[in-house]
Amino acid sequence: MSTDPWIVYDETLTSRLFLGTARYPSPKVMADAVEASRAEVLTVGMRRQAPSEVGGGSIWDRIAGLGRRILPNTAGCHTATEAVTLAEMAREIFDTDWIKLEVTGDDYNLQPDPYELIDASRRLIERGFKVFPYSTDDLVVCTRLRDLGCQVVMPWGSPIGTGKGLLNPYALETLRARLPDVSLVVDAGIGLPSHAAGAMELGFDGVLLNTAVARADDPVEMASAFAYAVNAGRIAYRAGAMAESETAEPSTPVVGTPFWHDRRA
Amino acid sequence: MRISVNGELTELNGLDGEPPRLDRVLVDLGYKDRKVAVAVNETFVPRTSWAERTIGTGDRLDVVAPIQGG
Repeated sequence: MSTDPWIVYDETLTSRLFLGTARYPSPKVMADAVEASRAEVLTVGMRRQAPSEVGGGSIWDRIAGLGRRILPNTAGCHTATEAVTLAEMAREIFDTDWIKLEVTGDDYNLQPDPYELIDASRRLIERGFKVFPYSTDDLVVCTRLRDLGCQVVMPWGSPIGTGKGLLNPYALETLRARLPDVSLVVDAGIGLPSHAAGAMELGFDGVLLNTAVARADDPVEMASAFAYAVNAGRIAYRAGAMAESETAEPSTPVVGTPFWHDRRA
Repeated sequence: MRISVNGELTELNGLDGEPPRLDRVLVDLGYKDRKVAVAVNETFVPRTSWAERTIGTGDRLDVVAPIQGG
C-alpha cells in the first residue's frame, strides 16, 4: 500500500508519515510501531548524557537498527543561537544535513517563536542545512520560511502532545493554496487517524506525529491505522472531492420511482 | 582545574602544566569512543577539532548524545 512518491529535499519517499520515537511503553513496542507505520523518516532528539548512558544497548542503537532516515530535532531550544548550535551537533552525530527546527517561544503550549525560527532557518540554510521548520500556521511566517529556502514547512495542527487535531483548518487550507510549491507537513497535535486523513485531504504532503501512536493503548495497531489514514487522505486529495451542497440531492435516480402516480388519474 | 560539564561543576585532576586538549578531557570524563557531540561555551566544536581545542578553567562543556524524540 503506497501512494504517489514524494520528493523531500532530493530524497524520494513513498511514505508520507514521519514518526517520532519518544514516549513508547518499551523499545520493542517502538520498533514494532515503526514497522507497522511504514514510516521511512523517524525523528530523534539529543540531550546531555553521562558516559554511562551512551554505551551499547542505548535507545539510539535500537532506533538506528531500524534503518530509517533520521530527522533530528532541536527540541528544547529557545533562541536561534541555541538551535543553530544544536543543529550543528546533530549534523555531526547523525551524519545528516536534515534538521527539524524547533525554537520554543512559549513554554506553556510549546508554541514556536516565529522570529527566532526565521532567524535560525536563515542561518542554518547558509550553513548548508536542509531545514524542516516547526511553525505556527501563520501564513506570513510560513511564506518567509519558504522564501528563505525551506522546501518543507511544518505548521502545527494544535500544540504538541495535545491530540486536539486540526484546530484551524482554514489556516491550513490557506497555506496550501498560497504555498503550492512547498512541501507542507502538519506537525504536532494529531490525535486520531481521522485528523491525519483530514490534513492529507486538505492537500498537505505529509504528517508528523508521535504521541498519538506512542500513547495509544496499542501503539502498533494505531501505527497501522495511521498508515492507512495518511494514504487514504492522500489518495482522496488526488482523486478530488465532490462539491459541497447546501441542499439534499437524491443519489438514486428519480425517474422511474415506483409507487408514484399522477393524482389526477 | 574546575570546569562545567553538562551543567555540573567538575574538577579535572592529573593534568600537567599544559592546558589540556578537548579530546584528552573527554577521555578523562569517560566519553572515549562515544557517539556524542560537544559544544564549549555554547559553541559547537567539531570532532575533527577536538585535538586542537584547549580547555581552561571555567569553560562550559555540553556533551550531547542521541535520544528518542518527537
